[in-house]
Amino acid sequence: MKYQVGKMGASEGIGLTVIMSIATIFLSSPAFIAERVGTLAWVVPLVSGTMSIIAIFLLSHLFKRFSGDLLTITEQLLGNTVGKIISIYYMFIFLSSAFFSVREFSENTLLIALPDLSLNVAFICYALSAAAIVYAGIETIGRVVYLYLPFIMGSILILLLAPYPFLEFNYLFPWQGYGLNTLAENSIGLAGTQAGVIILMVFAQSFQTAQTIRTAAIFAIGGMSILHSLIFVVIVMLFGSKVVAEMSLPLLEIARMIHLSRFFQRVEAIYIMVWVSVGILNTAANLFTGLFLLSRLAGLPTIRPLIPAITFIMIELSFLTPDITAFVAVISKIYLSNFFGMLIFPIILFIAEIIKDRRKKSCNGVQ
Amino acid sequence: MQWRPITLLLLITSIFLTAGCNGAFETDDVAYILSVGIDAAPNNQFTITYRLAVPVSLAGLDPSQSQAKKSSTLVTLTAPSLSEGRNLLKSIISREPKISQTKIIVVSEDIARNGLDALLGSLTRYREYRGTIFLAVVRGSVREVFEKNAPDIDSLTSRWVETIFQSSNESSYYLPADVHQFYKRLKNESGAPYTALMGLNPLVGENLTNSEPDKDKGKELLATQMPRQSGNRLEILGTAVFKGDKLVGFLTNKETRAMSILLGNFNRGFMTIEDPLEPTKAVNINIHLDTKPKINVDISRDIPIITISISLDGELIGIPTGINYEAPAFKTVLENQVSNTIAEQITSMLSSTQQLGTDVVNFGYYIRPQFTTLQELENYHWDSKYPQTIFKLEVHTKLRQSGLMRKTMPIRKD
Repeated sequence: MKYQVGKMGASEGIGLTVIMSIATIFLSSPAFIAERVGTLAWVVPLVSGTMSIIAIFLLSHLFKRFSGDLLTITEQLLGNTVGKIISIYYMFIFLSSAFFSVREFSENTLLIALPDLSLNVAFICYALSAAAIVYAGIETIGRVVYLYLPFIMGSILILLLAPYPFLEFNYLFPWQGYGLNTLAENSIGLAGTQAGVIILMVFAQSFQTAQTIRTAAIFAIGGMSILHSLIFVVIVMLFGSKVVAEMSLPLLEIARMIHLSRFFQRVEAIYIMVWVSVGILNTAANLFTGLFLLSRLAGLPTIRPLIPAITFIMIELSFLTPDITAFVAVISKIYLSNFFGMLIFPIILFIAEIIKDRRKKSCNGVQ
Repeated sequence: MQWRPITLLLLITSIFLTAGCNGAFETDDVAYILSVGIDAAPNNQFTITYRLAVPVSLAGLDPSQSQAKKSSTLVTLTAPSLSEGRNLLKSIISREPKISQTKIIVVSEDIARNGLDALLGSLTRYREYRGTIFLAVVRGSVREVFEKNAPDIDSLTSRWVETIFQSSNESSYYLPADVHQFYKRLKNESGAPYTALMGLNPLVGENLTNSEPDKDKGKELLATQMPRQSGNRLEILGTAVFKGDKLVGFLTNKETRAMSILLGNFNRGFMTIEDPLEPTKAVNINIHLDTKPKINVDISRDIPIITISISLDGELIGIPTGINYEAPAFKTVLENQVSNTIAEQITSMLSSTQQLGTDVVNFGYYIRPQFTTLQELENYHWDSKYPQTIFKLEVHTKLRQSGLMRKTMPIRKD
C-alpha cells in the first residue's frame, strides 16, 4: 500500500479535519479552558478557530506556488535540515496525539462505561482497532468520518438541547470571565489543541486544489469552532464555570444531567457510542499521519511495515504515566507546545516564501 | 482479497464487544439501592439506611396486590463513610449493590447542621451517583422515616420519590432539590443551597387547628406539624436552607411557596384567604404566576436595593359569603387582598432568609451581568451584602377567571 493516496475532495478534507479537532471536546480540555478563562470560555474556540483557519490559508497559499507536500515545501523554503526538523516536529505532534488518544480514551472508557475491564485490554482494543483502520488508508478514514458526521453532530446537538430546562443564562456573566488578557493568552496557547488540522497540509498534495483545502478548512474548522463554543455556552449555563473547572469529562456530565421525563433520561449511552468511535478514528487518523511523515522522512515507499511496530510502541508508551491526573497534566503541556506547529511554523513558512519571492524578483531586476 | 477475512474477524469480535458481554450484570445479580438515609452516629460515623429494591416481589403480581413493603427492603448499618457503608452492605446481601438507580439521599438534621462537605465529595465524583438524585433533610431520625414511610398509592419507592418531587409544583409547599442544584449553588458565586424538608407526623392532630387569624387562613407549617390523624406518616413540607454546606434553618410551607414564586417556578396553588368584606369568612382562590417575576438588583450604593415585581393570575374557587366578587368593583378589593397576603408572605420569607444570611432565592444571580470580571464579582462578597439588602416589592393580582360560575346569587332566606 502506497501512502501517496488518490485525489481527495472537500468531503474527505472536512472528515479528516473534524476528526482531528473534535476529540478534545470529549475529554478534559473544556474543563481546563473553563478554569483558565471562566465565563468567557465560549469565545476561546472562536478565536483559536479563526487563527487555525488563517494558518491553513497561509499554508494553502504556498501550495499554489510550490508543488509537493509539507515536507517538500518546507525543504524548498527553509533548506533540507530545517525542513526535516520541522517535519520531525509535526510527526511528533501526530504520533504523540495518537498515543495520548489511546491512553485518555481507554482510561475514560473504564471510568464511565466498563469499570471491570483491564486497562491493558482497553489499550490493546483501541490501538489495534486504530491500526486496522490505518490499513484502509487516509482517504477511507476521511470518507468514513464524513459519512458518520451527521450521527456525531446529531448526538452532540441532542446533548446540548436536552438540558434546556436546567440552563441559567446569567451564569455566562461576568462577560469577561477572568479578563480579556487571560482570554487572549489562552486563545493563542490553546490553538495548539487544534494542531491536528494541519493534516490538511500534510496531505495537501492529495487534495484536488488549494481551494479544496480552503473549503475543507472553512467548513470543518469553522463548524467545529462553533460547536466547541456552543458546548461551552451550555456547560457554563448548566453548571457554572467553577463546577465545570472541577470536571474530568464535562460533555459526559451534560449527558448525565439529562432528565426530561421518566422515559427520557440516562442517555449517556448515545454519548459513549460516539465517544468510542471518535476515539478510535482520531487515533487512526493521527497514527496514519505520523506514519506518513515518518515514511517521507525515511524515504520509504510505503507505511505498511511500520504499522504493527508503531502500534506496539504506542501501546507501550500509553503506560508511561502512572495515573490519569499526571497524564492529563503532561498532555496539557504538550498540547500547549503544539501552538508552534499550529501558528508559528505556518507564519514562518509564509514569511520565508515572501522573502524568497522578493529575492527572486530583485535577482530578475538585476539581470 | 485479504480485507474480507480481516473485516469478518473485526465484525465477529464486535458482536461480542458491543453486546455488553464484558462487565454486564443480569438484573438478578444486582441489588438496586433506591434511597439512602444518613443519620449521625457516635465517633464521627454515620448510621446509613439503604432501601433496596426487591424486583422479584413484583413479578407476576397484579399491581393492586403489590405493596411498598414487598417491593423493597431496608438495611441499616454504621460506617465512617458512604463508601465503607457500601462495602459492609455487600457482606449482608448476596447481590452487588448498585447506586446508579438511587432516587434520593436523605440526611438527618444533625448531619446537615454539621455540614454536608464530607458527603458531597463522593456524590459528585463517583460515577454511579448523578446530579439528578434528590436531596432532603429530615427532622428527626432518617432510619425511622425510612421504616415508617408507607405510601399507600404508589407501590414502588422509586416511583413514589419521582412522583412526589416532580409534582411538587401543584402546591409548592415543598421544592425539589437535587445534588446538581445543591452543588452548583455551593460552588458558584451566588445563591445558597436548599433541600426539601421531611418529617414523621405524630398523627395526633385531632384537636389541633389548621388556621390562623391571618389574611391567609392556612397555618404556617413545617414537616411533622401538619394537623392530621391518618395517612402515610411521612410528610414533606417546607424547606431546609443552608449557608455554605451547613444547615442553618427552615422555611415554612407558606415561605416555601413565596420562595417558589420568586424563583419563577410556581405553577399553581390554592389559597384560602380572609374575605376582605367579611373577615370572619374565607375566600378560596387558585393562583399561578402570570409571568416570571421581574427582579432588579441595584448595587450602585453600599446597601443593595432589590426591586421585585410579581404578577399573579387567579381563579375564584369558592366564595362562601356569596358576595359578588365577580363584579369589577368587588373584584378589585379581592385582588388587593390576594396581593397583600402574598406580599406579606414574601416579605416574611425574605426577612427569615436575611436573618439566616442565606440567599436561597439566588438574587446574586441577577447581579452577575453588572460585573465585568469574575474577580470583581468575587470581591463584591454578595453573601455578606445580602442580610442588609433593602427590598421593594410589588405584587399585582388579576383574577381573570371566576371558575364555572359567572356570578354568585344570594342564598334564599326564609
